[in-house]
Amino acid sequence: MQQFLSFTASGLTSAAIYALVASGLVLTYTTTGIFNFAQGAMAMVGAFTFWQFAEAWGWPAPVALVVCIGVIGPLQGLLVARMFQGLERTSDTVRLVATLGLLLGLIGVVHAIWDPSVRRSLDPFAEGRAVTVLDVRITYHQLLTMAVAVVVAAALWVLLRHTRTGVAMRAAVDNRSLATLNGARPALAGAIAWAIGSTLAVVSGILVAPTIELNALNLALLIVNAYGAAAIGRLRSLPWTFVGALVLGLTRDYAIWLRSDLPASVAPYLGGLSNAVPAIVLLVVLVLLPPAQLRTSTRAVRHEVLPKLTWSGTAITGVAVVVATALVIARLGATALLGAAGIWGIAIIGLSLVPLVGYAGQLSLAQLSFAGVGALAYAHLGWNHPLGLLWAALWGALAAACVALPAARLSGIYLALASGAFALLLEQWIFLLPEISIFGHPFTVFERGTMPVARPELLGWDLTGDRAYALYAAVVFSLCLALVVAVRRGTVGLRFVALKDAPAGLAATGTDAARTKLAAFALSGAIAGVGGAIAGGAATSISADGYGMFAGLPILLLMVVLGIRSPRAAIITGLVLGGSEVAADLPLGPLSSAFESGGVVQAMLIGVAAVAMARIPDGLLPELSNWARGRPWGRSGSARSRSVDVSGAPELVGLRTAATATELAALDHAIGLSSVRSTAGGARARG
Amino acid sequence: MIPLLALRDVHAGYDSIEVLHGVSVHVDAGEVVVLLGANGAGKSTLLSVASGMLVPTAGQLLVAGQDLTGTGAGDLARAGICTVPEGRSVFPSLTVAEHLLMMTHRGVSAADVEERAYARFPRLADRRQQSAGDLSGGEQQMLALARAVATEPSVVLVDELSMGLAPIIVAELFALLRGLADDGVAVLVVEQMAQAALDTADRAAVVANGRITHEGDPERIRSVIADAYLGVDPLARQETT
Ligand SMILES: Nc1ncnc2c1ncn2[C@@H]1O[C@H](COP(=O)(O)OP(=O)(O)O)[C@@H](O)[C@H]1O
Ligand SMILES: [Mg+2]
Repeated sequence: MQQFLSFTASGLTSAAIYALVASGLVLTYTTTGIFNFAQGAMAMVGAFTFWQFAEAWGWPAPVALVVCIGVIGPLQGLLVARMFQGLERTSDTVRLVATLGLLLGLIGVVHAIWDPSVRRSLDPFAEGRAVTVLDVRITYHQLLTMAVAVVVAAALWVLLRHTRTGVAMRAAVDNRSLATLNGARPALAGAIAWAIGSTLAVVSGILVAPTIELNALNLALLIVNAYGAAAIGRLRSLPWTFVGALVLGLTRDYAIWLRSDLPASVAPYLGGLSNAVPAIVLLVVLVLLPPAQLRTSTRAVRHEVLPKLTWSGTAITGVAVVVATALVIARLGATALLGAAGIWGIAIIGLSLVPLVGYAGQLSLAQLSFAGVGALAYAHLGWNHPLGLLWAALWGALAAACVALPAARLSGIYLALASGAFALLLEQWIFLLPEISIFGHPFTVFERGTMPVARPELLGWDLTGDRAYALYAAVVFSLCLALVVAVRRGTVGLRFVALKDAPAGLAATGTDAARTKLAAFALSGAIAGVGGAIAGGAATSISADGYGMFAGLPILLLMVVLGIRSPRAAIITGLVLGGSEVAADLPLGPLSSAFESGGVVQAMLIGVAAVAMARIPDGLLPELSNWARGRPWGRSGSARSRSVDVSGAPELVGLRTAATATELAALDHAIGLSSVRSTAGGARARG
Repeated sequence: MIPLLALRDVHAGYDSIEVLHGVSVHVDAGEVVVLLGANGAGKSTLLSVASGMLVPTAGQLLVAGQDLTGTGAGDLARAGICTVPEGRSVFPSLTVAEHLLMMTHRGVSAADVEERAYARFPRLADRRQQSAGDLSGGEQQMLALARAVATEPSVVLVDELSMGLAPIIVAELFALLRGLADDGVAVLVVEQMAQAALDTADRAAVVANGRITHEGDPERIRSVIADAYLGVDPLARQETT
């Protein structure tokens, strides 16, 4: 009983933190339509600046607190609001990537300012003081945390229900233009929401920091747990978000309690599960909540440009990839060679996002997990023949189907969250399982944390040497590229594109959206699995901690920044993320040293990406190719201004009035059918 | 006399498609002007220009003689142009009381807003704490029009006032607009139900294909429309009379 009460107290404290984070999340989401994955990172900024003021500079705690909450919090929010201006009108993918970019960017900034190798900690408020209720010791810090959550709940309720500003914020969510006609200022409402959301994050960061080590990634990750609370609030209702926070906080701490009482025989298997409780709650809530309540609000969204793909261009790219690899590896040293093959592993994983996110518009945060499953299957198979890659593909596809099946009716941000929860579940539980027995056969997921990965031999060619393997990896990439191009040019690719750009048109042709979605996931998972196996072979071993959700984010981000609908973006993604060792070895002058500090370059790139995505929603490559053709705002420019409002979905343009030939052509172009008209004229979404 | 609201030779459209090809309308203080026209003629587009939601590509928007072309819709709303757009123009998730709170944007106090709105529409008082999404169509239209009553506007723009409403409610709402005009407000209404509208209006205009084809006193427009039923179709005719 006493234990129960003490875990209840700590559960309530966790719940208070989740409530603070999640309510900020819900507030910004409902007023701006942007789900802020960087909420945890903003909390981290708050904790680190507080540490700087109170510990490093020795300011009195109240002064540091006032500056953090009164200045740093709102300022951070307003800066972000400024950066994200115009983002409301972009696609789910771009919005997701912008906040993920902010997340990685903030982690990069914090690492740059506060050397991560130095240990820092914050003392709890009123350290050592506590009250005892029913024999349970509750520290002042815990009490303070709970009190802050209650005060915030009350303040938000008053703001949103009883002030004109707050009511206008909610009104803008219902109907932005009608709110304007009521004299509201939606842009201002958004800025206020960001400022409040950021301040709540800062407060939660300062409150949670004393309970964990002050570590950027720790803080950002811990707060991922709060997403479950926001999902229970359906990203909309603050009262339900607070209920969600309670459920989540108590479940998590009771799970920790139960873990300590588990019999030794099952403890190792379920131990990791208690860490994954928030991810499981998130997944269950997303899958079980009725779909109508989980619909992302529809708003004016522009249509994205779909670059054309020709076989001749693909052949040139593929050959260039192999030849360039051959030329470069000839002059590389031993360390750089290891990296060279890794580039193509990452590039293949990046490529796997093109059909799924780019064409089908399905957001996945689990791509690296699919790759991990593929790599794992390949390693367990231990067959040193290139056809072993098919086994990796199969398992990657199965893992992806595990996401697609339960999440069949989820889309947008909800799908992203579900896939993220799946990734966390693998990384925090499945990949860490000790030996298990499957039909009497003992099986270890990751043996002692790492698994050796064999490199192949083919028809007497030894591909195990670093040079040969790098060349082999380049060839496999080119083959995957050809596969994606073939899909894009065929009917399946057309269905994928229709799933994203014209779902009504897809239904009209009698195609089942759920099956199309499953196919997109399976194909993407298969390619990712191959990528994982190739990358594993490059490093000759894989480890359980290499396939986390966060680790996979840079790939997704770079792909979207470069142009998620352009398969060639995968090459640059591979080079940027995997190429630092290679670049350091090449005579690139001052550039090489920039690549040596690879992390900083990446953080910078990603920060720029977050700022830029509102302005270049199609990505850099399509923008560049337009520019190169001498029409910087030409083709994609006209598509940009073709924003359609909710009442005038693209399929309806031809229905309300007789559409002109130009309108139809523009429509076809916007939904990407102009290049495939001859092969599938019947599938056109004409009214 | 300077009209309170005037559009002068306005061209406007969406993307590269022009919908209004040079439209001029004006509404004096104390006047109800009704706009008639077929679906897709450009009536709503015209109101969007008047409310500031759509910036004309050419021509001017004049309010009390002042050129306010390009001014944002929010600023025009705060300046006293009250727009009730097409459809149920309420916020489904806000309660009636919260709608009234929104109506304090012109500086009328919350208490005054409530008093005026409930005096005019007692039914809304019974629904104070209900979400607007749960109200009947007529009640929603009343709530939308409460803004015209409560915020002391100088210009009121209403799109498709009668759409989907019972005739008795429509008559009530037209009487309300008449009352506003009698207090000195300039009222511009877009209507499909020509008869009820023409009974109330001081002046009427017919829009076809993005142009004003007829304009004049309601009786004359009534006969023009009657002609339409006899086979002469003025609503579709291009040339101005
Ligand atoms: N948001 C919009 N985007 C593109 N075209 C539009 C939009 N709204 C209206 N239109 C087009 O403008 C024309 C006039 O529409 P509208 O002003 O709504 O007519 P009315 O209100 O007289 O029925 C129609 O051809 C319509 O299709
Ligand atoms: Mg209309």
